Amino acid sequence: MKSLILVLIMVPVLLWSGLAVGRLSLTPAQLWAALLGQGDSLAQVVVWELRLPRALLAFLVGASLALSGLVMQRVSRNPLASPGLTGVSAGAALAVVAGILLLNTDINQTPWLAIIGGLIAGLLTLLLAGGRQLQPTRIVLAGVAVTALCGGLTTTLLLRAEADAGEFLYWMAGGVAGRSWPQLVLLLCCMAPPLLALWLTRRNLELLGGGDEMALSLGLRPARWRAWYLVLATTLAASTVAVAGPIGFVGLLAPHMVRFCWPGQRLPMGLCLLLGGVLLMAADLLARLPGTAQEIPLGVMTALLGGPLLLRLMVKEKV
Amino acid sequence: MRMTVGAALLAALAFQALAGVQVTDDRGVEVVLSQPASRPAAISTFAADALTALGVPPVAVTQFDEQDRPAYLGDAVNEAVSLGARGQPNLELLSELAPDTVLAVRRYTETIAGRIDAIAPYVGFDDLTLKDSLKAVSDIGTLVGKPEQAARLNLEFQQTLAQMAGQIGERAGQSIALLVTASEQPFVYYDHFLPVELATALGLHNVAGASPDWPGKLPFGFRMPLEQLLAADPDILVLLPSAQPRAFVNNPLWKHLKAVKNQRVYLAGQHWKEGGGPIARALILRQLGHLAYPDLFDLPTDLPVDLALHSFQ
Repeated sequence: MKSLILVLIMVPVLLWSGLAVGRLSLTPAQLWAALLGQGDSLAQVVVWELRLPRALLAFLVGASLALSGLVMQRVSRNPLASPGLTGVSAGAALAVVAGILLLNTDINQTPWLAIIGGLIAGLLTLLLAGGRQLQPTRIVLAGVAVTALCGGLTTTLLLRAEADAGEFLYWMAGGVAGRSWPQLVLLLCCMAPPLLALWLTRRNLELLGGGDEMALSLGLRPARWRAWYLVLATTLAASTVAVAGPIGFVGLLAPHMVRFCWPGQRLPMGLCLLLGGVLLMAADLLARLPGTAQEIPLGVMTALLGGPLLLRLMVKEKV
Repeated sequence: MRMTVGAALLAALAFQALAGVQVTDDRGVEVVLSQPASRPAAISTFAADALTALGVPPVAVTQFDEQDRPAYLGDAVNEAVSLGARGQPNLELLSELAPDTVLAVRRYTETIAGRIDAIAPYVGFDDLTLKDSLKAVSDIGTLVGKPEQAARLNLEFQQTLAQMAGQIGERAGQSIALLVTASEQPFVYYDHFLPVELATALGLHNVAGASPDWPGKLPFGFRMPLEQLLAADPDILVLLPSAQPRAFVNNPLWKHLKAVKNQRVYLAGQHWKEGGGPIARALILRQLGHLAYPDLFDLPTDLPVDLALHSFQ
């Protein structure tokens, strides 16, 4: 209960900090005035056009990744399953890089490329892991193979990009800096259908976690439902790549943290959403704090924070 | 006495002929050629530009944005073989051409300098600052046996710069930012990047400021958060070429920038990125002069579309 209250408090605290912290330092009074559309016009523009959508986007990206990780772990019955380890993020990134470099795709087509690439990579992992007779132990191996394949192809394409390779590398480090309302609206549009579908069919997801035999005895077709949930989880994760680039660790870490903090929860979807959002908001805030001119890419920050946190969980959980 | 002086002069000339030509490149390495280069290869456009201005066509060049050869150098590079990108020149092709020296940008090629040296003497240039540009032109002039012509090119440029700066007087003080990138956060150039140095000489203030690592030349810019750009709110924005659409111009904040409101956002050509050569730097200077003080300086005309300055809508 204490943990839940702490997380609930952290959401508004992080949101407020996200609005106040930046190159232009704002006092609480200035921030409040800017939110009300009063006072300094520069502060109003910065708060409304940059910081607010950025903070909300960080929350939604983190929430989507966390939920995607939870679903993947549940369906595959493998605690290592996550968007980063099932090839979804790498596949989405490959599709975006390939689309831009080879097909000269428009910036508006990028989200769809990411979703298609993520889906293809996710399904390839699923097939390699055993298809209908999905073997939890093989899913990570298959995911590593697909991630490596996508990574190799992306590197090959980046070599063709020459001077623009730096641009792609920057994008591939992940981040929400400079994003605003268009990206937020896009992510909302992409994540709303899978989120709704997950919520409506959450009972079947819960049953799938008990194993195929149990699901069969209750009249479910495990292979079909597994594919359904993986498509939803992949769509959620790939949508985040479309707006924020590939961001690691949140999808893996958040479900573990939820299980650690709130043991006994059968399908903690809400908690996972909340914690994933909080994690990414905190990481984004830290990414902008350093005194250097340039921000730390968010993907780098989540890795820096996520690695030690995951190790600590492993030690505590004796995994 | 006359005989002694004459003998000494002859000896000096003979020594010079034997020693060939010599420069110290930007790595600090002394490069000696037994005779002035007649088949130089240019790995980067600034060197091809300098060679063209000196009347010694390069045997090889590298890509210039999407062009195999820098088209603005005209006939001088038509016969040159394109080695591909300056960061990854085709060394096999280079070796087939048997150049007598290879003039390259140091930061892109230093790791393969040994392999290039095995083909022909490698000369590495920093090609970032105005001083780099002046030194590169001077060194290239020495290497191809035309030091006086190179000195004249540098002198003429410096005189033009001083003359233009002298016309500005009280009107100095506008602010400017040079932006590049396709991502959501623009990359802005520090004060020591050649076009920015020229802008400063013309009385403009670069909002990105000096590099905290100066006198270290790298990095030569950083990704500026949009709110920092809005806080600085430059009078003039120059967008350098980017292969992909610029995402930062789609940010709702973009329209709040003073330069955008006043329609003082300009698209510059690739020569602004590779402007160390005498032809390119002179063009950058004239274009900068016009965009900052249109009533004082005319816009260079009759330029190919890719080099012309365009208004960004």
